[in-house]
Amino acid sequence: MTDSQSRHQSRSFQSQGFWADAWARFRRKPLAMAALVFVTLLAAVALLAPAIAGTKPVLCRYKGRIYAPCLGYFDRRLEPTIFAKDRFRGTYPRNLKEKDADSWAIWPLVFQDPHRAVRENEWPGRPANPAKDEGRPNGINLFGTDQYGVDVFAKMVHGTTIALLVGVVSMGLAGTIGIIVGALGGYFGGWVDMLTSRVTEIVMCVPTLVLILAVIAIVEKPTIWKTMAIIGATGWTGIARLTRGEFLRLRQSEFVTAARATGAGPVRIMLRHILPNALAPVLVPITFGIASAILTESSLSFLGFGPPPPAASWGSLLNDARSNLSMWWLVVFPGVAIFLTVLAYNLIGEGLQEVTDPRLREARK
Amino acid sequence: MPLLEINNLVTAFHTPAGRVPAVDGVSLSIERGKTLGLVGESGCGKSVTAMSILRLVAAPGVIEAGEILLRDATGAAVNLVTLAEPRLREVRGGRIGMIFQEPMTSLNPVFTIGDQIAEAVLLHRDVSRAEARGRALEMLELVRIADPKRRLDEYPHQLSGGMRQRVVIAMALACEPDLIIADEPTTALDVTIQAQILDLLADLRQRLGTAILLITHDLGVVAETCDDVAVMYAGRIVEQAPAATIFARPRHPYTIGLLAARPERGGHAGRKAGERATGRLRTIPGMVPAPQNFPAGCRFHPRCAFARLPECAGAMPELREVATGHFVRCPYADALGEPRRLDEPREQIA
Amino acid sequence: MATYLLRRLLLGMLTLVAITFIVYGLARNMPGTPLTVQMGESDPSRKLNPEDQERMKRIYGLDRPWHEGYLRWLGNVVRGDLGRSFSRKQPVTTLIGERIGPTFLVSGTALVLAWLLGVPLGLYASARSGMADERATSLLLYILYSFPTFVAALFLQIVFSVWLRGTAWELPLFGMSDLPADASWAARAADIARHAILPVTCQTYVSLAYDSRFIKANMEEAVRQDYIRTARAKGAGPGRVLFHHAFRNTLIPLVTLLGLSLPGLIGGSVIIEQIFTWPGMGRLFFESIRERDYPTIMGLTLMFSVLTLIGQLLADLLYCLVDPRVSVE
Ligand SMILES: Nc1ncnc2c1ncn2[C@@H]1O[C@H](COP(=O)(O)OP(=O)(O)OP(=O)(O)O)[C@@H](O)[C@H]1O
Ligand code: SF4
Ligand SMILES: [Mg+2]
Repeated sequence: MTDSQSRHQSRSFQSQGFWADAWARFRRKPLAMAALVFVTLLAAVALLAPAIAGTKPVLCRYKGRIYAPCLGYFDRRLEPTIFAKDRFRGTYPRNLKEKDADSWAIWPLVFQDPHRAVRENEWPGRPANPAKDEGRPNGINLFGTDQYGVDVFAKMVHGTTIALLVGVVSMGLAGTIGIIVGALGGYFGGWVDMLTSRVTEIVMCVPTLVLILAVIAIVEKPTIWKTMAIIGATGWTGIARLTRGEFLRLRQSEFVTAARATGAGPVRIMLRHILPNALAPVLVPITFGIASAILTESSLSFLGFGPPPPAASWGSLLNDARSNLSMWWLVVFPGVAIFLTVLAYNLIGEGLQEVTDPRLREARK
Repeated sequence: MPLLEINNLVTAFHTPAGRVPAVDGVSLSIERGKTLGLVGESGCGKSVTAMSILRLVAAPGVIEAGEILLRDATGAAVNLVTLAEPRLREVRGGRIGMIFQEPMTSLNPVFTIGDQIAEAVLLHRDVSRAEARGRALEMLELVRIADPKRRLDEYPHQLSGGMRQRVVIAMALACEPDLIIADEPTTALDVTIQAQILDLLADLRQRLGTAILLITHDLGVVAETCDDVAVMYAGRIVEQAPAATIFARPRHPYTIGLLAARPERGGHAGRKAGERATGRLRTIPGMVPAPQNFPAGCRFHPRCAFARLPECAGAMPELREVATGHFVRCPYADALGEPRRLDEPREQIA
Repeated sequence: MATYLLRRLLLGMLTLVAITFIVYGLARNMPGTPLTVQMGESDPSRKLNPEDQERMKRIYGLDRPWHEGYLRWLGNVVRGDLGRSFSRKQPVTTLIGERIGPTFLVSGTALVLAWLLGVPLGLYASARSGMADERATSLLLYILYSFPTFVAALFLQIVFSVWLRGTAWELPLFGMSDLPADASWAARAADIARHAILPVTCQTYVSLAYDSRFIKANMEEAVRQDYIRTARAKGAGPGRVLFHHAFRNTLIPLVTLLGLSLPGLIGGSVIIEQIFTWPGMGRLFFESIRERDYPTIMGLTLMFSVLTLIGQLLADLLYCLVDPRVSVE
């Protein structure tokens, strides 16, 4: 084993220790941990949304076979065609019993649909969802109903996916762009750096919301994926700057020199040697970026540039509320949900910063 | 009556990982107008001791026990450990000045040199701004900065490291304190500058009669500048004696080891030229223990060439006076005789 | 100094050209033209027939490829002409002139309030770091900081315009003034002030929370430095250490922040102006995007970008002023 190889090995041991150490310190931060638990919980809600609120059975037996119609909430095509053929028209409880007396079904925790109002007797013995400002929160509609009688709780549970996806996908994209741009500039320096820095500056100069609005207006049908792409494509400047700084600092370190001496190419050096060491500081703005991406998406939806119906993000719920201000529950529940999610990511980011920033760490030793 | 007397000082850091007793029962005394050298390996607690004197130890650090007595000319003493904050501030910079290890960062980058020295004066003397500025100019002359008038209005970044350290010294001396604490004042400087700064300190002491607590790694410096020497190991003083005595007849095995580990020099004069003598460095085997896991008994016993086991691992030895003014924390100090084994160069034991 | 400014100016010009080029390209490639959007939305039956559309396109210069259009626009800008709004049939400069006042009223007030409250709060928090009251304040600021403006705006609207309707505390929901044009000067001012309370509050609290947290973080950074220890060793008291030695160093990042808040001062907040239908620049921008009103979009983009660049330059100049280690060279 050559000297630099052994050096590299020992370094990767070190960095394992670094992360274990960081995690141990993170765990001692009650607020940051609570935030992490909250986000995990949200992820669970997003994954299990159809089982939490819906009008399609989670699992049912119909005409001798087992189906999971609730998957239809993730994608229409996942809903077994037999129910459409048998003219269920989306109403399961009565149809199941009428068309197959032997059938059974496991229902979601809350029998409410995110896309439409539940009708009278759809669930045996239950009245129709109230519409307009009648629909304040009650035992059946936990968070009330909107002006068309659609259950707010169900809408919010199903909107969780969007809130989480927006943050993760757009920041995944922003992180990729930012790290690549920053790494190139920081590692190569010279005219490459000149170019990347200039581009970064220009993008930074454009007011983000302005650019996003402009781009949103261009794309034909604003789907949630396009929104995410745009947020990601505009939100990478801070990450690029930080990465550039880290690469600039680390390219002169001795382990990079050692790696270069063994003939490692630039890509290998950047990916294997520098990036792992630059990751911790870059992770912090990414986490804060997730918070601001969620904020941006909900602002956009709030301004009416949200995902097309029937999908509803928390922000578009708030947009509905604007014209029905007397229905306070349309504001309070989604508003608090957005706030808590943003707060949670900010807290996680802050905790991460405290446990990975060597200067802060020194101070709190 | 010593000017400053430290008795059984305990300063510990309360970290999430537990209590770190960086200073664990230090006793020292400094006579008026004399220089005391405080030596010891890195991490033994020298800086924390120095900071404790002015109660400057930062947040998780707490002075847990002991007293620090500062006497004035009449012999009346105040205990700095219990002194009220406002009174303590009169001592800081007024009766005790402090010089730090890092001249590059110890000055505030956004204020001029003149303002920073004048501030020290204004904080303790009832003088006008102009008078304080005049005093600052005087001080710059005193510490032999060239073109002091111009420097007065310059910012720290416009000065070299050596000049900055002179400014820090000027600041510490501005109010004619009785005692200067100099925590490795030359470590961060290059060798020629080191010699100049040390000369300056020695000269100022002669002229102003200021006592100095000089913290250093460098026994050569101690030999040249100090009247007395205290040797620190693992949070405690293990030996204190007049400098001449320490160099002629060290008693504690750690001191013996330190002296033997000193690189060969061409006598004291060799230092003046600032040369780092070649010659093989004899090191004391093993490492300074971290405060979290000080060994029981004599803290030096795992590394001691004269250790008698199990006695040395049993009870902590007391500091006792073996000759007038010569204190040693080793019950066998008299029986050790001349250092034998440590004269041989040896491989460091991992 | 002169060469520095010249260099910054040239670089700024370059950046401006790049930004406007991108935005012009984007705007022109939006689906729909001002003609189709405007007419089609209001009344489908009034949709222009193809010949008429072509004729109007020629009038508005939409028939040329967009890069030619851009060059023409750039040429006009150099001559000080931002063009005429398609949808409002007014020169863009006039439109901007009308909207700048209301925006400045809200964002200027908010900026002053945020700094007046934020700086002392930040200093207070760093002075009492770790104490119970500081922790409570900091937690509150943190919560405010994470609280989305538009959610807060809706909450405030519900409370002050719906729940408190009919009481003395009721505040208007929308717009800038409900008084007829012939109302007295004083009545008008009072009415505008009442309308401005909610937008100003919303715009203030976020920057307030941000500024004070920023100051606290920078103060904490500053008090860890060696020179603070030196100051304490000199005998400086805690107040002097904090407000003289540490704060003077915190000023360095602070002026940068101040410079960067300049564009927002005149650009306003799209969301807040939209929620409160406040007739300012942000709302103008939002509307012009919806109406595909290229000249207005371009005019505003240019203005926002110029402001951002001036803000950055201002930040850099102020930076030199407060940090002796940095000079414009
Ligand atoms: N803030 C702190 N938190 C925890 N432990 C600390 C802190 N500051 C110092 N220590 C511990 O106190 C011990 C003594 O430190 P000190 O700085 O006094 O050593 P020193 O003798 O001055 O060393 P050097 O010669 O390197 O300056 C060290 O072991 C260090 O780990
Ligand atoms: S007490 Fe024992 S171990 Fe300690 S110095 Fe003396 S001989 Fe060595
Ligand atoms: Mg030290």
